[in-house]
Amino acid sequence: MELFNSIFLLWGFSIDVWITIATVMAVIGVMLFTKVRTDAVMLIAIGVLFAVGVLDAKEMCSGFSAGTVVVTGVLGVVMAGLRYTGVLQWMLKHVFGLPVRYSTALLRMMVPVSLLSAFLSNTMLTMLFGNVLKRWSRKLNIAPSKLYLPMMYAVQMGGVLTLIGTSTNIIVADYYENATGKTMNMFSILVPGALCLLVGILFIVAMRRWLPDRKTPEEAFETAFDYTVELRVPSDNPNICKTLGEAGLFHVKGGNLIDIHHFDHDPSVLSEDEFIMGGDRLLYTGQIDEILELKDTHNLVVSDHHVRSMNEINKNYELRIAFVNFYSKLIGKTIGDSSVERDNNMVLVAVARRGKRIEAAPREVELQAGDTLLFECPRKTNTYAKHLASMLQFTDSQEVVKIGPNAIVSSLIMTVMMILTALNVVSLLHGTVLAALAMLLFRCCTINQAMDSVSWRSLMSLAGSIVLGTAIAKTGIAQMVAQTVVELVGTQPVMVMLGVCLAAMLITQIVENVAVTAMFAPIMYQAAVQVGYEPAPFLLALMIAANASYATPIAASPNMLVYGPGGYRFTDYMRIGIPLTIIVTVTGVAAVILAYPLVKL
Amino acid sequence: MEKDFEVKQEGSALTVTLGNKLYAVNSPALMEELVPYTDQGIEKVVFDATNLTLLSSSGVRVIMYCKQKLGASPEIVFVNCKEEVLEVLGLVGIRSIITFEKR
Repeated sequence: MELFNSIFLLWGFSIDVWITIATVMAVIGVMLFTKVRTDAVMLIAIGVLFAVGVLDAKEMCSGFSAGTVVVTGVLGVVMAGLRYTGVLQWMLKHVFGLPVRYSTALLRMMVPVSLLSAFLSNTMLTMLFGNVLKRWSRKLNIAPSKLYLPMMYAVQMGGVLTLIGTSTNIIVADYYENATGKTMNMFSILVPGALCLLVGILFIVAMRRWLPDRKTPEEAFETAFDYTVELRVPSDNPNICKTLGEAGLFHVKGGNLIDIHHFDHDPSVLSEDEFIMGGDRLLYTGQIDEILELKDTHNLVVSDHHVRSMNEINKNYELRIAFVNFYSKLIGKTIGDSSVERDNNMVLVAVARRGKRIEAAPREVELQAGDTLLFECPRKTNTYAKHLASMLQFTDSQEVVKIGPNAIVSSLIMTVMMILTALNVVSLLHGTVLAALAMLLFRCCTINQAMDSVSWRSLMSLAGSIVLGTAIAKTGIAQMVAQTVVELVGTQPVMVMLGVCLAAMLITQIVENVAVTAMFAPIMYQAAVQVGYEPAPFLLALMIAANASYATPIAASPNMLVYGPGGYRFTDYMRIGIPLTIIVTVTGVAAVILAYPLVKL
Repeated sequence: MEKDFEVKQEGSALTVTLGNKLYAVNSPALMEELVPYTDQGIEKVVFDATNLTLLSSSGVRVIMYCKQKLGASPEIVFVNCKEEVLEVLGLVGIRSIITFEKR
C-alpha cells in the first residue's frame, strides 16, 4: 500500500483520490452505457469505497440516516394522501378545464402542475398526470405529444421551487448543512426558482410550434382494440395432433393468437407446445384480412360469429397498452425470449413503433425503448408491481380516484405542513412526519397505499449519492476540481458560479441528475470558499442548473416516463430542450445573484 | 386424488389401464408417468378403456403426446372403447390414428 501510495503521490494524488475518481467514472460509465439500476450502481460504488478504506463505517451509513432522505421517503406517504383522496382529479376537473386555444391549455396545465411539483415527487407526478393528460388531450383534440413534454418541463421546473420539490435540492441542502452546520429554509430557492419557472413557461408557450406533433401510439392498435377473429379447427384438419408451433399457428403474420379453447373448455395454457385438436377455437387479433388467410393456408374455418368485440371474449380479461421503458431489460429482446407473458399471465397482442403497427409476429419483434405493446391481461393485473414496472410502463390505468370529502382534509394537512415548515415552527423532518401521520390518521390513504407510494429505489439512490458526495469532498477531489475551475475562469465569483453551473448542466443531460448533484455540490461549495464567498447562493444556483435536464430522454426519470406515451423521438427533446436548458440555467444564476447578493466570507 | 390408472411396459409395448375418467384432474399425473418412456423404443401404446366413460381435452392431449412425442409414431390401440369416448375421439379428429379392439 505504501508503495502504491508513493507511486500515485508522485502524480500528485493519493491512492484514495485515484480510487474515488475511478469509482465516480465507473458510476457515470455504468449509468450511461448499461441498464443497471441506479440504486444498485450507487450502493456498489459506496460499498467499494468502504471496502478499500476511502470511507469509514460512519461515513458509509451517513446517507441512509440523513434527515433529508427520511424526509423524501415520508413525503411519499403525504403524496399518497393527496393522490387517494382525489385532489389531483379535482384539479383536472376545476383547474385544467376545457380551453379552446392551445396556448391557454399549456398555461392552464403547466402552472398548476409546476406548483404541485414544488411539494411532490417529480416522478410520481409525471406518472399520475400522464394518465390524466391522455384523457385531456382527447377532449381538447390535441396530440398528446404537444402536452407531455410541456408537462414534464413544468414538473421539473416546479421541483426547483422548494427544497423538497426534487431529490437534487435535497442533496445540495444536505451537503450545505453538513459542511456549515446551517440549515436552508424550505423556500430558500423559491424566488430564483419562480423566476426560472416564469421564463421557462413563457418560452415554451412562445415556442409551442417547436413541440413535436406525433401520432398517438395507441392509434396503431385501434383495429385490434375493436376486433378479434375466431377460427375453428375442423375434425379433418391435417394439423391435428401437431403443436401450435409446429403447425405455424402460434406466430402468425399480421396478428397474434391470444386464446385457444378446446371442445370442452378444459383449462389449457397458451403455448407453442399445445396440441391442436379438432373442434378447437383459435382466437386471433390483428390485421383481420391477413389472419383470415389462415383459412386457406391452414384449412381453418371461420366461426359463425367470427369478428367480435374484445369485450365479448372474456370478462376477466382486458386489453392494456404498455411502453418499453428506457432501461428495460426487454430492449434488444423479443417477448418470446422473455418470461413476461408467463410470469404475469398476459398475452402480447401487437407491437407498434412510432405510431405504426409492426406487421411481423408480435412475439418475434426485437423491442426498442418507447415501443408500444398491446397486451391482453387479467383485469386485476397489478401493472405497478415492481418486476413489471421496471420493464414496462402501463399508462392506460383504469384507476380513477373519486373526489371525496377527504380531499379537503388532505389539502389542509399539506397546507399546514408547508406553513409550519416555512415559518420554521417545526423542522422539515418534523413537518413531513406529522403530515404523514395525519394523512394516515384521517384515512386519506391506507397503510398499503402509503407504503407503496414510497419509492425505496429512489431513496437508495439518494442515500448513495449523498455518500458519494461525501467521498468526493473527503478525498479533496472537490477542492482540486474547484481550484482548476478558479484557474480556468478566474476569481470573479459570478464566472465561477456560472462555470460550475454550465458544467453541471451539460453533464446532467446524459447522467441522472441525482448523481450529478452529488458530484457537483462539494465542487461548488469548495469553489465558493476558494474565491472567498458565502457558498449558499452558489449552491442554490447549482440546484437550478443540475435540475435543468431537459434536452434528452435519459436525463431524468420524468423525461423517460413521457417518451413512450408521447410517441417521441430522441431529437424531439433537443429541439426545445436545449434552448430551454440554457435559458433556465442563465436565468437561474442571474436570479440567485439578484435575490441573494454575494457576500464575502 | 388416488391414482386411477396403471402403466406397464412389456417389451416395446406400453399398456395403460385407465380408470373411469381421463380429464384435467388426473391427466397431468399420467403424462408425468409417460414422459420417462420418451425415446425408449416404444412401438405400441395400448389404452385399456374398459372403464373409461369420460375423456376430456386434457386426456386427448396425453394420447396425442404418445403418438407424437413418445417415439417414432407408435401405434395407438384402444381396447373396449365406449361410444361416448369414441365420439370425443371423432370430434377431435384422431379416430383415424387409433386402432380399436374388443377383448
